[in-house]
Amino acid sequence: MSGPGDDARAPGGTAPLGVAPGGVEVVGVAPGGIEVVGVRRSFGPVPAVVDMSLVAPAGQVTALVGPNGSGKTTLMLMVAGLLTPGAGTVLVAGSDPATEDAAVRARLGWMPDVFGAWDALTVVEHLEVFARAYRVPPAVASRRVRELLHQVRLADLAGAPARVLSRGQKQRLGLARALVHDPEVLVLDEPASGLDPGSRVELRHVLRALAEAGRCVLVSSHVLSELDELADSAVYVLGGRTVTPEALSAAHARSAWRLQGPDPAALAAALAARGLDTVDGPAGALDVALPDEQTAADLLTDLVGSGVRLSHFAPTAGRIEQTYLGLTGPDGGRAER
Amino acid sequence: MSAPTGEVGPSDARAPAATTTWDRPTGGTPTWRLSRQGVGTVAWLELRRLMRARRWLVAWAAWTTLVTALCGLVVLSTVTLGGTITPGTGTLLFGVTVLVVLSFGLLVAPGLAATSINGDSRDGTLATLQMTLLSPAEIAVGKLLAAWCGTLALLAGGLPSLVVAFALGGTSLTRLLVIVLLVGVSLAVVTAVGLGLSAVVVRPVAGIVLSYVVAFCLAVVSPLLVPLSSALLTTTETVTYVEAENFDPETGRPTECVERRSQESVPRTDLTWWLLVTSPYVVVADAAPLQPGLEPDAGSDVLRGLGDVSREARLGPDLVQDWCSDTDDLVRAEERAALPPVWPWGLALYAVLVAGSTALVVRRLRTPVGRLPVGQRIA
Repeated sequence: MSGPGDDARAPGGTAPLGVAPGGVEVVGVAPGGIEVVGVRRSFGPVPAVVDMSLVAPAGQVTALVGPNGSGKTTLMLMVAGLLTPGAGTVLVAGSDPATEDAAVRARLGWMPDVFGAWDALTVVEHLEVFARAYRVPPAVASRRVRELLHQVRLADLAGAPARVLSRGQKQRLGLARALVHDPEVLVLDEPASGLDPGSRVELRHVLRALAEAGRCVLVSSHVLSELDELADSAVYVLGGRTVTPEALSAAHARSAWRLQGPDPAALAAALAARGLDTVDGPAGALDVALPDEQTAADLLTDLVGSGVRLSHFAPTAGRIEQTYLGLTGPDGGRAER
Repeated sequence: MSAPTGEVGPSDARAPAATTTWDRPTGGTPTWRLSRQGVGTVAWLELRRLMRARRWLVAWAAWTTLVTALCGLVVLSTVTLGGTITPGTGTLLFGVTVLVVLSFGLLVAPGLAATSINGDSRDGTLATLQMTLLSPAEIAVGKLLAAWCGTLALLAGGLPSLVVAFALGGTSLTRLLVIVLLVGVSLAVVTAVGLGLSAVVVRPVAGIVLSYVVAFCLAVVSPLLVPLSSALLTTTETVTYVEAENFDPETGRPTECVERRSQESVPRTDLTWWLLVTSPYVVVADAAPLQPGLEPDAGSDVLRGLGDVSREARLGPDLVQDWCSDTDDLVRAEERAALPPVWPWGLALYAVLVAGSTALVVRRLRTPVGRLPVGQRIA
């Protein structure tokens, strides 16, 4: 297993820009973000991450989207500095998690997909332990713990032992724990799993507010419909690889739009006259594959202009979900596994 | 729990917590850094987890009651059997209590730490600690200290009995302190070994079983090998027998002694005695200071008795059997007493065990992880 190149460990080699080992051009990001270039990792003979590159800039929420087993969690573990990358480079807030772990950890909040809590400890004790473990000054820590408890709505349960918390409450405790040292970078693995709809909306607000305050947020999720409102951009992973821009445009070419009108027959005729293949949707709706938003806008103008009556004209799914389905096929990539 | 509706207002619950800047470290975490703050944080956490476990408190209370009751029975039976309470009773009570406390400690200590690492890893709580600014050594030592405190609580449960035994007489203050210290050290060793195994073995149950096996081997199996191997490990030596030839008719004492030599196959326990050193029983018993003035009552001194057995093994075969003089036993006793103490060897071995176990734990806790053992999860 070859580690990150020697120059990554060279004294004084703190500049995040330049050429990474292997000759890959590193894209410069504002300090505070995450930068992953050509990362690979196998578990024994099983490759988990084959080739992943991504940039998650500060001040934005970046979604990591992909089917189960596509390598999302493995990538996040390497970003968090828990796993050694087999190859490639990772920079978090300008530091390499493998060699400058203290620098990274002091600036990175991590929430694993399964958050373990110490059953016997109370909610507030959890946060106190982590504040101490992150060396947050005691005066700051006590105020932060109080604020975070309010922020994740666990103030009423501050004195309750963790074993009485519901899954969603534990998840919220996990988020508060990840925020206890006020990190610049947040890496959240499936933070929405187990949350009720209200808590999901709250989570979205918290993460948006953090991004607007200049933090870098990398979040993986399989609740695709909610990512549009949360994420500024999305990185798609399939079979251990991040999806290339070319594959992304191809996926967009396959995005489906749903059209509906009071007279389905007339609508079908109008679309057929324009040479568009349609698929029957529910309740007389028709789905059409369109390459991009520009084409969709043109089609809408054209249809309305020629007197076709429409009551619905929209993508069949959210932006991220549509791209995802375009990449994986309608079964969400399950066919290949 | 209500979902927020409408526009995002200036709700304080949604705004990120206020930022206060403080100095954050740069560079890497030294693997072996041991700061008081770091070790203290982990020890505080682990002790709290232990103290909150109700079954642990119940077990401790039951244990304290049991050992105190046992002490009462020893005193009571001495009185009932027609004897009076003498310093010998105190010596006996002290020895019995020490052996009971040590045995119980050896039963509990391995299990207390044997799921510390792999259990936390399974529960998903280990990685969240590894992700903090704590160094691997701070987590390892913090966990070790907390588990050790747990086993020391067992020793504390035996303290009332030890104090009673001390008050009855027959035990010097030096002996009390030395023994309590060594029992504490022995328990630390078994705890450390359990912790080390919990870092090496992936499955918690396997870790517990293995810790008990190791503790049992150290305490019992290894010393048993000394007598068991004596039949196999023999050499032919010249043994001198001094026999009485003529006796004084009035006193019955021998007036003439004759030496007889013979070539005999003798067991060489002096070659295997070091196997005894692994056992906390031997180390504790051997370290028990001799108590001048109390020697006539040596029959009640179980610790001294145990120590003598081990020293006898160290001396090896008695090549001069002087049946003619009545000082032969005393000569042998002097030889035993003249042997250098065994506890420095024991302590040296223990130091190696503790250091080795801690090193295993630290190696397991180092991040980022390169090779991952089968079945081990990271987070």
